[in-house]
Formats: sequence, structure tokens, C-alpha cells
Amino acid sequence: MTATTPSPLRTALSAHSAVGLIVGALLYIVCVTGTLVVFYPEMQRLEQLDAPEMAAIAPQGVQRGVTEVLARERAEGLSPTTHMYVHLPVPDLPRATITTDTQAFHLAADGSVAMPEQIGWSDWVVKLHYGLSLPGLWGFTLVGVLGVMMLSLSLSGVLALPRILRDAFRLKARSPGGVALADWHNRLGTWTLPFAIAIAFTGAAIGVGSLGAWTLGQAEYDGDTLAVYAPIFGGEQPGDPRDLAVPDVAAALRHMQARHPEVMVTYAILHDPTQAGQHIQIAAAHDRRLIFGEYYDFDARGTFRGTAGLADGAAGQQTAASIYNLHFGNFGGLQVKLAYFAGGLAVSVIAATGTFIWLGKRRRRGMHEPRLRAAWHGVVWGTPAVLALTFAARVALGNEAPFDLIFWGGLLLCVGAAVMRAGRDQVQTSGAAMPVPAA
Amino acid sequence: MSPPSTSALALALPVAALLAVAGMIALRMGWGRRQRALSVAGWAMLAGSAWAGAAAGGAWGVAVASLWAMGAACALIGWAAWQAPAPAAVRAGRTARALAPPPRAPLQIGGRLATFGIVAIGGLAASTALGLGAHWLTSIAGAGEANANVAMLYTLPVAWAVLAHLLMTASRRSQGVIIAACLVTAVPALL
Repeated sequence: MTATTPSPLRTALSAHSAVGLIVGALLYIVCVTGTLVVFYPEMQRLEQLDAPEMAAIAPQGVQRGVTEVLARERAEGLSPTTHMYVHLPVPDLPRATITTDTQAFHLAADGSVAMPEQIGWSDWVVKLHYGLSLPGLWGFTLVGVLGVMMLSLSLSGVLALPRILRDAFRLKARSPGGVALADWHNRLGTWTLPFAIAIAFTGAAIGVGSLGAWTLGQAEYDGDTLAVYAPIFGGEQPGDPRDLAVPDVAAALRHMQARHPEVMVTYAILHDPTQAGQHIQIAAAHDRRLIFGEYYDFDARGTFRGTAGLADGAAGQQTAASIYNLHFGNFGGLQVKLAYFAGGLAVSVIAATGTFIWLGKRRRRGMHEPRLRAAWHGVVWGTPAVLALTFAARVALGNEAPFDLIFWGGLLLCVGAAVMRAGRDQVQTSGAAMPVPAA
Repeated sequence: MSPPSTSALALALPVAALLAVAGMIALRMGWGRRQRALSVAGWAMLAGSAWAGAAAGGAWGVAVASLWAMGAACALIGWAAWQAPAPAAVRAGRTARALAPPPRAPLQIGGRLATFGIVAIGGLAASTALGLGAHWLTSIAGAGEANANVAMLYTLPVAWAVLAHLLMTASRRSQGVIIAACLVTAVPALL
């Protein structure tokens, strides 16, 4: 008698199911929110319709805004900001916005401060996608781990589909008995595989990158995690410690206009403005590149000092600078965003149908679990519904609406209500089937 | 050999998109047929699409071309779904066969938790070790500090994903061997 060992196919399928079940609900939420935040710039515009918009802003306008915000923060008695980010108008977000450590303002076309930025909901959706409402690195790392598991699911999914090519275009979309569900899951999984791998890998690299950087920092840089990133994204090069005047960001922007007219300036970043060692970085996007941009470094008087090398430096620098655009789909205008939105929907459907397939198989084996099925329905339909509710709350309650409470509380209610209803239905069904005692 | 002209580069992206869509249509037309010519042509066009995309804009062009290919494939899948026949009506009096629930198998909670711990903690430790090993190898190969650091940061998630699958499918003994083998790769980096 020989001992039976499970086939590699069955083993791969089993691993695929196990990983999918462990990460299922959280991965689904990350997929749905990721699909939405493809349109993060558009969401910001929708959320604050009356913010001033412009095709471009003059360097002296930016200078005026920077000076006004620094003076305003000084007058308010706030601690000096360590960083000041000036978002410059770009096609999908034609707004000039200054963000400090504590607040953010939209600028008018002449550079005067127009109004506070009010994009609490858009920022919250992005944070939900990045960290599932968990604080700081915990959430970031958890979502990174979900990316790792999604990558693992892609691998086991391919291994569990030996007829991947033979069935490549077969889709029995209306067949009963779980066939349709499995076909949708497998076909969408097959044809969005490059997209899913790209999203999963870049998400995992962004999320668990902090774990790798921490380890490398301990092993090679005396515990300095930031030193791990310095050779990749460029380190901080402090300027003249005696120069405490308002930084001349206009000079830096004029340099970019004169010397690099081919790039699109996206941000002016002021490090430690009006403090010892202050300096300026200009971030600029390059046409037909996956990199998010190149950093152009200036001293506080706007004298060019060099670039970080993201556009033309080491291969590692260029690939590291490419993972953000590749993940969020903002490298080719609206067409690429629409493609990413469709891809995100497909990946969300794959995540949702995976658990339904597992539940269906168990039901066909005689294991009826109506509450579990109802709970999954609650997650699948509840997530987009409650996301819509958070936007309604933003409209009704304003920028400070308790989005986390509404989302997680609402989702819990959806799941709870679905489970209770399934339980009640089950009791009624079994009650109706009870034999009537003979008179 | 002279570099391609600007107009040729401007044409490269539309050509990449066209080849991606045509390649996918050819694959669909050749699918399920005995003659492989159409399938071979389809794959060749997809390869040509990647090449034209790379010519148009390196990794950016390849990414854009692949979106066209995936979009075309999903459209064909959507067409297949539209064309799928409706299910045959269930005959009157015939109901789904009710299976008796199988005997309840042991839950093996301890074993499942152990597997989870091995995949999560053991997998993370092993992939971190592989990352450190990759960093060490890249450094001694003279690839530069940025490349070495990125090698570490990229190896970790990829290795963890592969190890998660391997560890889920391996026996306890094999799990130990896999993790130990990975941990050893960090030794030169830590010495």
C-alpha cells in the first residue's frame, strides 16, 4: 500500500485558498480604496470646488505665497515649519497649494493666500488605502504585507491553473454551480496578471520597504534608517547656516524655466525655511518616464547645486523613483488612470469572488454556512456603500467629519446586519421544515 | 547605425498600442485551433508591442503598451461573457441534490497557527536574510550603494511572497530547512 501525497496542483490551490482567506477582507478593502485613489487629484477638486485654479503660476507669485504663509505662521506663534511643500499647478490638479507641518492653503493666481485647503475626505481615503486607519508605520507595514500576500496569491494562482493558456478565453459567464464565478475569477486573474503583479510588488515594496530599511539601517548604517534612503533619493544638503532670510524660491523656479523648460515642475520643497541650513528642492516630472520626477537642489538664494539622480542616476535610483507612478497609475494622463481604474475594479472582483468560490465549494460538499456567506456579502457590498456614505458625511458635516468611525462602524453594521438576517432566515427555513406532530 | 529619428519615435507608441491590440485579437482567433500560426503571430505581435513601447519611452512605453494589451484581453473576455449561453432551465421537480454534511474534521487549530507563524514570522526573517544577502552580493560586485540598498528593499517583498507559497505547501521538516537555508545567506553580510 502506498501513501497518497497531494498533487502539486491541489497543494497550490490549497495554499492559494488559505492565503486568500487570511487576507481576504483587508485585501479587498485595499483594492477598492486603491481603485478610488487613482483619481486622488480629481477627488480633491471635487471636494473643494471653489479653490482657485490656474494653468500656471509665476515664480514671483509663488514667492509671495511662501512669504505670506511664513509670516502668517510666525504671527500665529506656531513653531517654525520643518518643511514647506508648494504644489504647483499641473494638468490634473491645476492648483497652487502650500502645505506646512500644521496647515495648508490654496493660493490665488497672483500668489496671495486664498483659502485653507479642505480635502479631509480625499486625504482620509488615501490614508485608508495606505494604512487601513492604523497609526503610522503599523498600517503602512500591514498594507505592505497585504501586497506581499497579493504577490504570493498571483504566484499560487498561476500554479493552480494548469490550463491557463487552454482556457485563456473561455468564460461561461452564466453557468450555474459556481462555474461562472470561478471562470470570472480565473479569466480576470489571467489577463490582469501583469497589472496585479505590478500593483502588488510596488505596494509591497512601498509598504514593507520600511522594514527592509530599518534592518539595513541597523546592519550597515549604525541604526540610521534615513541613511539607507539617502543614496537612492538624495540626502539632505544643508545650506549656509548664516542665511536666515526668506528663501528665494522664485530664483530657483526661474532657473528651472530657463535651463529645464522641457520638464514639468510639480513641487517646490523648502527645507527648514528661515532657519539655519535652509535650502530648496524643486521636484519636476519628466515626459514619458515612469519616475515621479527628479529633485533639483538649490541653496536658499536659488543657486543650483545639482540633482539627486532619479532621472539619470543608478538603475536602483530610477527603479525606486518609478514604483510610485507604477502603483498609482499617474504616468500617462486620464487614459492611463481609466485603465488603472478598470484594472483596480478587476482586481477587486478577483478578491471578492475568491472567497465566494471557497464558500461555494464548501456548500457543494454539504457544508452550509449562510452566516459566513452573508458576512462576506456584507464586506463586498458594504465597503463601497460605506465609502459613499463617508463622502456624503463630508458634504453634510464638513472637512472634520469622523470618517474612520463612519467607515469602520458602518462596515461592522453591514456585516452584522447581513449575518443576523441570514441567521433569521435560517431559523425560519428550518422551522418551516420541521415535521408537524401527529394529532 | 544612426539613432531613430524623432518622427519614428513619435510613431513608436501608436505602433506599440496597435500591435498590442492586434496581437491579442490574433491570440483569440488562434485560440482553440489546431493550427498554431495565428497564436504564434499573436505572441510575436505582443513581443513587438513591448519592443515598440520600449523604443517610444523605455519602461514607460512598455507599461503603456501592456495596458493596451490587457485592455484588449479584457474586452475579449467581456465579449465572451456577453456571448455565453444562458443556463438551461432547471427541470421541474428536479432540485439540487442535498448532500449530507461530511463528518466534522479536526480543526487542527494548533497546526494552523503554527503554519501562520512560520509563514509570517519565519518567512519575514528568511526574506530579510535573503535581502541582506542580496545587498552584500550587490555591494561586493561593485554595483554601488544605491543599487545595493534597492536590491535589499526589493528582494524582501519578492522573497517573502515566494517563501509564503513554499512554506504553505511544505512539510514541517522542509519548512525548517527552507528557513535555515535562507538565514544562512545573511551570514556574510553580518560578519
